[in-house]
Amino acid sequence: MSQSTWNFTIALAKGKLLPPAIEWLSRVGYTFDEDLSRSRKLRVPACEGGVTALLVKPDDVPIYVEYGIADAGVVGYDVLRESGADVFQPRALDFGHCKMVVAGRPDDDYQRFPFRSLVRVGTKYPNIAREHFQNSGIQADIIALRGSVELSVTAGLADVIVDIVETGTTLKQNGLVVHEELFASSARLIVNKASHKLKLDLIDRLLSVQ
Amino acid sequence: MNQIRHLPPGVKDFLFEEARRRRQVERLLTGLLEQRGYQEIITPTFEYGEVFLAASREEELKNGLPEKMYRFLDRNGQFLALRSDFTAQIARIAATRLQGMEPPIHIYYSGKVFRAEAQHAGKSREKWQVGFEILGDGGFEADTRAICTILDAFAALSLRQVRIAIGHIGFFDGVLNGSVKLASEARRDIKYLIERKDVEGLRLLCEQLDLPSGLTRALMQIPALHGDASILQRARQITAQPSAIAAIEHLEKLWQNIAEHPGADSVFIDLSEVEGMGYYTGIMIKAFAAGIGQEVGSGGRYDDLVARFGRAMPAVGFSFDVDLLVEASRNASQSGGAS
Repeated sequence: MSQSTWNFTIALAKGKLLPPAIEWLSRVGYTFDEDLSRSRKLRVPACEGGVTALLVKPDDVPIYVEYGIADAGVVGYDVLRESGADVFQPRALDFGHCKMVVAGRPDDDYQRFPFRSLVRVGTKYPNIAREHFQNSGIQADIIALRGSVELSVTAGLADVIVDIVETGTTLKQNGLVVHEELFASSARLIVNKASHKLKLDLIDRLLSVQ
Repeated sequence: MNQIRHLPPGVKDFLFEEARRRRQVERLLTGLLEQRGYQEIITPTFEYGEVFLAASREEELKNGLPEKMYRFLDRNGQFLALRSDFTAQIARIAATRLQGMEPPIHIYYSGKVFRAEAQHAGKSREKWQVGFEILGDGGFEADTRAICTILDAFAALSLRQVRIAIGHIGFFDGVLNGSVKLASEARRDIKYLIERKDVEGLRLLCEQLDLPSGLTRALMQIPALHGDASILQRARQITAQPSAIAAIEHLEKLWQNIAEHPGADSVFIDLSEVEGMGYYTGIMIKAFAAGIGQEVGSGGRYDDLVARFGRAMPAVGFSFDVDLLVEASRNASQSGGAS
């Protein structure tokens, strides 16, 4: 019984990461008849037998992988870290580069934030934000938002945001500045802990291609 | 209140067919263990919390009590805890009540452990385990016997799509302890990143800690050290630390010892696996079954644990997760039992 005969499922994050993820998979040797970026299907088999792609929202990639429904997944480190999922992350991929930052109004003195009784934080990453402010001695009220977090500052809901930036254009357009850089992020290959043992040769194949 | 009609998170009722399947898996496992000469021990569901503290890691105790422990005070103000680990109880029994027994002592148990797991990936807070321990034998014989018992158990359950990963904590500890003196925090961070196979994070941390390039190279290779016995050759090339080499030699010998046993083709060497109970001192074993996204059983050698209860005694043990094995059996029968 060769492990290669087992089915293999990989969860891909829809959105910006999808085209480079598909391109990377094709270099590994997995290609798809359909254009996945345009496909409305959620499960797409690869040309090579036994491999299936699941197209899911970025936040859901770590969930599918942790439960073992998908053996592996491609997702941004920002989303992975926010999820706290208990999965292996054996490879950083060379796309989806961005930075997690604290940003806010240019006239605010960020150095003095620890002296404030309360700082309001608008973010799509409440876990990352909570951990950061707990460690930095800032009393923060974390407001979990679904999108357009810059608006939370400009509209007066929040003092700062915790969010990812690529080029900084969106921040600039909204008149915000970076107060602090938290960490660099890029796409990660993540692997279910059991799949890593059960389908070792397929995982090794994924790991062999940069 | 509505509470009267609901269960708290992490626990379940099992009705009829689901109960039957669990009893069946339990019977197959305990039947096999009886047949192999293991004797049953029934331990209390709760006892003094100190017993479980004695088996906990130092890091867990630094911030007070281990957070996963269900603990409470009895009417006299005594600190009690629900059973979070059978092995701790058996170590207590071995050090106190089994003193007169001729080793090796073969023991098995079946029952629930209680751990307040974070509500993540549907993790249960009450787990039904069937497990065994071999006490009083510190050598290859017991390690070999433990692995063969595990293989026989999967055969008894008719589970063929399984993989048994065998690692050795002495390898990682040896590589890490050898060349430089590291702060315990740095060691913990390195271990955490290797546990997660986070090579990128590991590279950044090694850079940040300014580790010697030889050590960085060795650490960076650990997450990929898994496969057949040829992996052990590769492992030899990344370290010269005597304790790491001893671990490699132990695994080589063990590999030869089990090679002829039925089902041995499902065993592989996994030096990348460094996660396990804090009291493991030698081999570490994890079992996986097709379609199950987490380990269906785990164990290892713990030569120092019994001594914490007052009498030195080497030991090795393993426990199966009954609920996950039921799920694995169902998957196997749905795919026609095909292997």
